Amino acid sequence: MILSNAEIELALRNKQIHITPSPLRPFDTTSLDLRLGFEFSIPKKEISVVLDPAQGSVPRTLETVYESRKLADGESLTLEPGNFMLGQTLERIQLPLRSDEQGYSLAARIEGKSSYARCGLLVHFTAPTIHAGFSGHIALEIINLGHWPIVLRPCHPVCQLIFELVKGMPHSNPSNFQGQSTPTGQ
Amino acid sequence: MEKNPSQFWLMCETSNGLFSGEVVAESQTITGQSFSLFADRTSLEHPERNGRNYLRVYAEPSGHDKFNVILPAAPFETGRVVEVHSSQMKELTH
Repeated sequence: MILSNAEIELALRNKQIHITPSPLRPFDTTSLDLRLGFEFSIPKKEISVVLDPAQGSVPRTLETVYESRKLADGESLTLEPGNFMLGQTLERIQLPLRSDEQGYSLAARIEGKSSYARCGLLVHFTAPTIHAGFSGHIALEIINLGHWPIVLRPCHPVCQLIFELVKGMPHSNPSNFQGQSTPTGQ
Repeated sequence: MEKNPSQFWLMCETSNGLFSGEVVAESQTITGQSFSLFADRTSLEHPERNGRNYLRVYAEPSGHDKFNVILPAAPFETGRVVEVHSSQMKELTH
């Protein structure tokens, strides 16, 4: 079940969702917009490396193959066709785990905006699910698939978040509950 | 009656992530498998420092001296739920 804008407002008020700084209003009918942050991680093209995500060294390797860039107020960044970089949402999101009695957990999906998509820009591709229990800025995998350079400006709404109700309390070991006929497992 | 997952601190080693508000948090499962994930600095007990630290997680006891932990993000090497030894956990006081 996707939350309407009225339900999103209610969830913010009930602290089922925490967003800082406060998101742009008004919300769309079934989503809220998130803005591009000021920090980017740009691949160092001169480095040749093979990444193996199944091995433990990937996060430390990524630290060495990306360079950080932080834009100042009013600065922008131009992404050339075929180029890829990482960004972050300006907003920090928290989706606390809650039982049904506490008012339900929420999960979310991050999606792009059609205006940017029509320019050939993917602001977030793959792994769109923001799980219940998440806390942090959302990483944006940004790629220009279009034919022309695209200017990216911090604080502009570049993606949207769609919230969904999580039925039941997520547990760390759901097998504990297999075959049970009542909510308490009795 | 099964308790709902509560928030705990999970022992980890941290280093800088790709963004200033982010760290790489490294820890290991009860079987000794290392895992690493990008986490928000504000999820740490000591957000200002790297090295030995504690990451805020949801967790439930899963047997003698064991906890199932729901990590705040998916690690590169394991699923988002991992089993750790209780010695890696610390009570979180609000």
